Amino acid sequence: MRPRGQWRHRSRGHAAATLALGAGLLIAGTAGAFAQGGEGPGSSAPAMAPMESMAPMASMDAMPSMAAGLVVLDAWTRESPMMELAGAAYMVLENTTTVDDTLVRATSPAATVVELHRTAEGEDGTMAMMPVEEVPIPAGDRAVLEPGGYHIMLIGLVAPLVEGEAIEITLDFAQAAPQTISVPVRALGPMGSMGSPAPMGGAMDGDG
Amino acid sequence: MNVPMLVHRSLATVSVLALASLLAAAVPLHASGEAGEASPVASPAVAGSVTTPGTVPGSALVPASAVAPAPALVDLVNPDGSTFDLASLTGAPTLLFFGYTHCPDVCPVTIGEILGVFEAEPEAQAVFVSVDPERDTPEFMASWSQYLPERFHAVTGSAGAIRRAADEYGVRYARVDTGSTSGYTMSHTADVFLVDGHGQLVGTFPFGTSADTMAADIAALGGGTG
Repeated sequence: MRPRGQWRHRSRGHAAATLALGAGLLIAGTAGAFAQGGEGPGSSAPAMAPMESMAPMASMDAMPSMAAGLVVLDAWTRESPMMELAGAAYMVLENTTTVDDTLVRATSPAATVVELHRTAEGEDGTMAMMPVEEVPIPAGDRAVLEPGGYHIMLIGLVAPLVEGEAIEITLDFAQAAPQTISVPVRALGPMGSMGSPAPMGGAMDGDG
Repeated sequence: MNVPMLVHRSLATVSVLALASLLAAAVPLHASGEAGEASPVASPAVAGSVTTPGTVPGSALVPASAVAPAPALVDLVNPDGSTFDLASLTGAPTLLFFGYTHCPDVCPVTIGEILGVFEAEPEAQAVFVSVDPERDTPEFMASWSQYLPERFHAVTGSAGAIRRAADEYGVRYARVDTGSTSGYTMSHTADVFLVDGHGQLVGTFPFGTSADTMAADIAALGGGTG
């Protein structure tokens, strides 16, 4: 996982999944949860497991000391070498309460403007991205911000987003208290799958 | 929403497999049968023939109804302003898709998966056709594409040339004024077209197809360098 040039392709797969889970733990910690070393969610919930919308209780069991409320998991953003292009941040927002909540606003020192957006596939098969007012997080459920769906748009980057670094994003909710999370920057590359190929090693993009 | 949930790797894989099973049942090999001059099992070295597309286990490839030469991308330009020539890529398989550089969500997913294909398939190439000529000038494409491998070809052109190219591929796109501070966005279909080493349009991968899945289909083309 050594830092390398921007947008440089490299092997991801399991490493990325592990990183994502680690980030989730880190952020859960920020949110007031207590992540226990090797006995955390990593052991009970494999990194590759799909996030089932009906499994919030299992997650609570895995993190018993987590205060009831809004838990942010698996936050990440993608490297963006060109500041004139917007970045996008993704995460899972888990509502462990019995009250519906919404993500109403996000801000970040990394961008001059932060907006909530959603990409959706239209009836004509085109993918279109539109700003949204809020992201619903139903009680006992989770909102998944992911590529091709809801995401946080980072507009007017104050610096390139560099793989291996992290940015801060503050999330404001209708019900839960605001949270400031650390969002790691991932390389542009495949989202990961079984049997990720070995890195090529050879550089064909001479810049970095 | 039917968008593949890429974050959920296992789930996505299962969906792709399920889709492939359906396709395998619904599209029985007719594509190769219509290739004409060559037998469906002919060597890949025979011009115009392909390994039966979409039959790789787990394939997400939607085979073309009839394998035919990929439409030339006429009057499009490279970042250096020179005329792009799709035929110059003959000899190795190519993944071709339409998008725009200011696309923060959908296009980077496709680009990322293609970079994964590049790792698995050293000969594979890609063509990114901008549908946003207003912002994606050759100059901007030059700044942008420097962060990508040389075999990732970013091309743009006049609004008219782009529209004609998109129409040839059945790609739909439109400018959408969303009120976002980031400016307008482009809605667009996000399929990835697979062109074999002979310049034949073999089929399409739906948005969200994983690098491994695309690489497996490319490998099944049998090299394509002949």
